[in-house]
Amino acid sequence: MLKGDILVTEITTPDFVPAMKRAAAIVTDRGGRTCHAAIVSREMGLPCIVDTIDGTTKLRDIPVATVDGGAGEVYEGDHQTKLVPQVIEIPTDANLTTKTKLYVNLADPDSAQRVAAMCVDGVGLLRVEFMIAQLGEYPRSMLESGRA
Amino acid sequence: MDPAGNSDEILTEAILGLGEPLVSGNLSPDAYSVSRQDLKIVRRGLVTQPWLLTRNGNRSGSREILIPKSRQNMQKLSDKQAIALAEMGLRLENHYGRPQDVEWAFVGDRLNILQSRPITTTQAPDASPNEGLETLNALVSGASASPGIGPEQFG
Repeated sequence: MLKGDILVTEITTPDFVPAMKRAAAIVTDRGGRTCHAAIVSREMGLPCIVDTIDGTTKLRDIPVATVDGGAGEVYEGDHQTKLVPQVIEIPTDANLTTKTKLYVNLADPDSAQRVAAMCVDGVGLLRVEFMIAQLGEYPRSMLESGRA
Repeated sequence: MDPAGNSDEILTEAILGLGEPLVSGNLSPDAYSVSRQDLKIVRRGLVTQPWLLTRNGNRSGSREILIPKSRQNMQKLSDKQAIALAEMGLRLENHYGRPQDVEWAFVGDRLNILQSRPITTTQAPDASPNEGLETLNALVSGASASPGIGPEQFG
């Protein structure tokens, strides 16, 4: 799985996240618009098409494809599109005070800064296993070569 | 609201049985779009559901059981249930002050709310020009889950 590849899979699970981060688009055989693949793709701003039924079979031998996430279509070959950005404002509760302390689940070191700026009291669950998976390298080999 | 499409529509996805295969994506759900203005059903996307997840009798855990062929294509929600869910979605949105991603379950006619959390990412329908796409060979199609024009694409 190289940066820019299209990830075509039956479904995604949390273990797929490091690969999803390198993907240019995600296509799944099964699932709806509220499944794991769909939600994570929207978080990442990646085009995603679900429920293609036989995408993993039909796209297996296609060297280059173009994914139109908005239309839910995959085309053969390369097509460049000039994207038109659109912004939807979602209100944030920057000054919200709650009686209950609010702790986040943190799995992605890249989002630590952004999350710290929100009205949270700390990290309740640190998903170290995801952080290690994102290294893209076996931890023991890093230890043995003196890089950890 | 529909997190990947029209924000004037309330999107509900439904499967028979327990909800885990919907969350994981192992089962493709029925999708019902209800208009925010008049609470009328705008679209029904019905799919075949070959199996469902259910409680494992008196033991712990769950198990998959096959759905009889004659019932695999049934509409998972009645129109009345789909509209009741849309109304509940609006009530929760008003209560929390923003659109919600709600997990729910019907047991018979009784609607149970399991979880409600804010929708944190939305994307407007992709308005980018797609000239020339139609000249390409279409390979597969599916449901648009994310147009993918998030901040990443604009660096």
